[in-house]
Amino acid sequence: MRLGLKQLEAMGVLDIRQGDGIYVKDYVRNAGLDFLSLLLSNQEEEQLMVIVDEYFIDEIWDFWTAVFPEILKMAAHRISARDGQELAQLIKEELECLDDRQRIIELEEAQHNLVVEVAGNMIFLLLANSARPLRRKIIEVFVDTVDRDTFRQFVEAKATLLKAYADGSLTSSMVAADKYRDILRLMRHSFKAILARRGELITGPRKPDV
Amino acid sequence: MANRQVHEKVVRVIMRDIFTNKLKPGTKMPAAKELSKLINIDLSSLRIALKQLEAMNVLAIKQGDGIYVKDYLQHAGIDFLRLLFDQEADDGKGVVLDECLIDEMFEYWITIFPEMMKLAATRFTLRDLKTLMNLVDEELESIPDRQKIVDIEDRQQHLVAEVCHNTIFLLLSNSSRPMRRKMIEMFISNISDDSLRRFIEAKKILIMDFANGSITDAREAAEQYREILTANRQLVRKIMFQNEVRLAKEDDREILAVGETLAGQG
Repeated sequence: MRLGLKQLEAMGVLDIRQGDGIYVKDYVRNAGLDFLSLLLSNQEEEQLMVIVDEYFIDEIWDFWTAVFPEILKMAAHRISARDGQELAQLIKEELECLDDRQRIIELEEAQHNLVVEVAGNMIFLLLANSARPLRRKIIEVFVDTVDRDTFRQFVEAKATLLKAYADGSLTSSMVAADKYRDILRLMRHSFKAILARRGELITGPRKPDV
Repeated sequence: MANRQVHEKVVRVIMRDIFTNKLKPGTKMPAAKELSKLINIDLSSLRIALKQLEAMNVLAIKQGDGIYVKDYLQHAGIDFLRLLFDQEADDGKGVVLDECLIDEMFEYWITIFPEMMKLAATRFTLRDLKTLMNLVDEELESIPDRQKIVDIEDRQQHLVAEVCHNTIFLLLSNSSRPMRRKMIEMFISNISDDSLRRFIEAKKILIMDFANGSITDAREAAEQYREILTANRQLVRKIMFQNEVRLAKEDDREILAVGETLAGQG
């Protein structure tokens, strides 16, 4: 118990005052991103469904749509032909595995990881580690929500973008990153539209905290 | 009962040794009892420290096997850096900052912050803009007080994160606070009062142009700010390499570096 409390204190969510007591801190003001990472990694599926509601999923999309294309832009300046080939191979494999949910998720993660490695910035490497459970979650939710054809279209859009950048039809990394951002936005929009049609998207106030 | 300060010191030293590669990935550390004797720390404090490092994903504690150092680049999160930079802020020694890390910090911030600004620009209220403007005015009045400037810059950056209304960006802002503060310190400690004034006034003009509608496109405003940050980065780079600013700090000798101790064991 003591070890657990010390870890929560180190994460900035508890305040242990000797001779006084243990106080809960405002995690939004004090915790770092690894708090979320740990939260998502360590929950049972049932509990995860309570924490990870559609609003939280949308926040993750918001964050990833803002950040990942910029990392992509950085990687585009540093990418080698071999890196490009490796990325193309991962996307090709994705198209061949459209019915294998687990493999799709692994391949999507592998693509993100490759881009972050190619970007060559240690801070983004650590950020990608922190964000791993978050990005995995949006990939899972997306794959589970859209139909096979829709998913195939998104993968093909990535393949087309990569090919255009590799063969020089698209020379600007900024334009390439913006096009990828458009893909992410469309993915997010598709996900929300499907949930709305199913009546699963709550448009009212956020569910109360458990 | 474990001494709180002691276990934190142990965490800091081991973290630093992992970061500086004194403790390489794959290194098997001595068992906890042996380690506590080696570095002269009570076992209870050491266990807390080791568990904390395990939670941070920089150590793997395998029951019946041993304690192994993990590759922090593959496994640690951004809060690993937060703690490292917190050390630097607290005691001014212990983190080895080199030109590469500083430049990476700038690159990271130049990439992320304008995107946060774009998001915030779609969600701000006039009151948020007023708060931001007041902070910039306070900055202009505080130019000789560089420590206050660092605090105000930090508050401005965090305000943008708050206006984003996105939990992830908020937590990321918390994670990156010590690093951002270090970057701000590096920048403002190497420029004249006039240059600092010009930088703050450039921000003020950008905010005013956005507030009065001269700039309507949030993307344009954010990209202009990205250019300002890029210029700051270039300035710091130039100073670092031209003046050969010494950034490496002396190791904390209060507790002998664990990496050195293990190396001494052969």
